Amino acid sequence: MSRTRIPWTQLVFEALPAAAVAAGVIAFWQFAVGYWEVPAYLLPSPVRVATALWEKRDALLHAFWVTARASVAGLAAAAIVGTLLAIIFSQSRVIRTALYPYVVFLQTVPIVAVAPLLITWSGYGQRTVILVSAIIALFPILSNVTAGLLALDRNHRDLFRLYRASRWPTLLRLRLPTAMGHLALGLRISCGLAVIGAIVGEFFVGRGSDFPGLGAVMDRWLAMGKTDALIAAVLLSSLLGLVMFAAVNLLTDRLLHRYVQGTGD
Amino acid sequence: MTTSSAAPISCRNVGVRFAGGRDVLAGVDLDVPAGRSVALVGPSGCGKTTLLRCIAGLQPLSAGTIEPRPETVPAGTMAYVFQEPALLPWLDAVHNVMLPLDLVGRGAPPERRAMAEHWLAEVGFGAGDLGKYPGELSGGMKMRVSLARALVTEPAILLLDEPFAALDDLLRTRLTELLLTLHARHPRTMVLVTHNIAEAILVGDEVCVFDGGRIGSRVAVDLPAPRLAQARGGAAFGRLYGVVSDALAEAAR
Repeated sequence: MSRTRIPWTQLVFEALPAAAVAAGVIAFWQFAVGYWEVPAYLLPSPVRVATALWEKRDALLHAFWVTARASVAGLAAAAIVGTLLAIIFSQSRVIRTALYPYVVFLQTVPIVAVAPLLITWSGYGQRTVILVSAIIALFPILSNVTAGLLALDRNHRDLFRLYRASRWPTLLRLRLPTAMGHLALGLRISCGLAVIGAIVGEFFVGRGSDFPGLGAVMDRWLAMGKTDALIAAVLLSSLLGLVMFAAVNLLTDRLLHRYVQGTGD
Repeated sequence: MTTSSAAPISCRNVGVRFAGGRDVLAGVDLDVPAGRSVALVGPSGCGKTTLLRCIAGLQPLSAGTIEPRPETVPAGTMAYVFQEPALLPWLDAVHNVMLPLDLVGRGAPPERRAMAEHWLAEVGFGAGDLGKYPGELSGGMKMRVSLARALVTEPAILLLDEPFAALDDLLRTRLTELLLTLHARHPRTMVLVTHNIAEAILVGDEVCVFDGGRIGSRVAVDLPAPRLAQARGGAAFGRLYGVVSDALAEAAR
C-alpha cells in the first residue's frame, strides 16, 4: 500500500501557526516577568529557564534517558500483560464478568496512593518506577484489546465456523489480528500515561535518594527552590511524552497498518 | 487436483424462530440433487439467507432436518460465498485463498499455495496480483478472490449469498458467466440466494420463490447448459423471466 508523503513545505506551513503562538507566549512571559518583577523562585524568565537547561544539561539528559527507559519498559510491560489479560478475558463471558470489575477498580485507585505500597513491596529502584508506569498504562490497552478481540466481523466469524476452526486457530488467525488496530489505539492512549506513571514513580522512589530520573530530579529541585531547573525538567517531561507518542504512532503505522483497514471489503 | 464429488441437499420441514417469537422460516422443504443448482429469490427479509445459513450450519434450526448435517461431513465439504468478499485485510490474495486449507489442515504449505494459485487462476485473477492485499484490489478482484477461497477446498456444496449484489452490472454479468463456466467444468451442488431474476435463471436448475418464510413457488429452468449470458436474448429465457417475475410480484403482495 503506497502511503502519501506530505511535502516538507506543507509541514512547515502547518507548523508555522503553532510556532508563532509559542514564540508569542515566550515573548510575553519574558516581558511579564521583567515588567511585574516576578520573583525567580515563583516564575523565572524564559532566559533563566534556558540557562538552567544548558547548565544542567548533563543531569537533565541523564534523567531524560532514565525516565524514557522506564516509560518504554512500563509501556511494553503494560502491552504484554494487557494483551495476555485481554486474551483471557475474551475466552469467556464468565471470566470477564468475574475479573473486569477488579480491573476497573485498579484503574480507579489513585496511583499516588498505591505508589508507597509498591515501594514497600518492590523497593526503591527502577523496578518500582516501571511497575507504577505499567499499572497506569495498563487499562487503556486491556480495555481496547479486549474490545478488539470480541469485535469480530460477522462474516469472518462465520468463515472460521464454517471451516470448524477451533479456539486456538481462531484466536491466532482471526481474533488477535482483528485486535491489532485496537492495540495500536490502546498504545497511543497509554504512551503518555506511561510517562506520567514513570515520573510519579520517580517522585516516590527518588525521595531522599540520588535516583536520577526526571521525577526524582524535579522533586529534588522543588525542595531546593530551583524553579528554573524545575521548569526545564517539566519541559523535558513534555518532550518525552511527545517523543513517545510520535514513536508509537510511527511504529503502529509501520507495523500494524494492514490490520486497521476494516474488513477487507 | 482432486475434486470432491457433489452431494445432494435435503431440507425437510425446516423452521427457524428468532428471539421474540418471529418465524423466519416455517415448513421449508427443498431438495437439491447432487451436482445441480437451485436459486432462491424473494423479497428482503423472507428467509432466503437464513435457509442458506441453516444449510451451512451457521444458523441453528428450530424445527425440521437438513441433510447433510454440516457436523457430519468433513470440514471443507461446504463453502460459502458471502455478500461482501469478507477477505482478511492483513493477508494478501494468495494467503486469503490458502486460509480454508490452513484451517482444515489440508496439504503441506507448498501444496496449499499451489492450490490457491490454481484457483486464483481459475477465477481469472492475474498472477502478478497474488501478493496484493485486499485494500489494493478492486471490488471485482476481491470477489474473485472470495470465490477462489470458497472453491479451494473443492467443496461438494457451494452456497452463495448474493455474491455479486454490490457489483456493477457489467462486472456482475462477467462473474455470473465465470460461475457458470466453473460450474460446467467442476460440477458441484449449488444454492444461490439472489435478488436478480436473470442471475437466478442463469445459475439455477430450479428457481424457488420465497414467500413469507416458505417456498411459495418453484420454477424449473430448462435452458440448455452452458447458459452463458447470451441466453438472455432467447424466448425461453424471456418466458422464464416472466414466470419468476410474476411469482415474485405475488410474494411481495
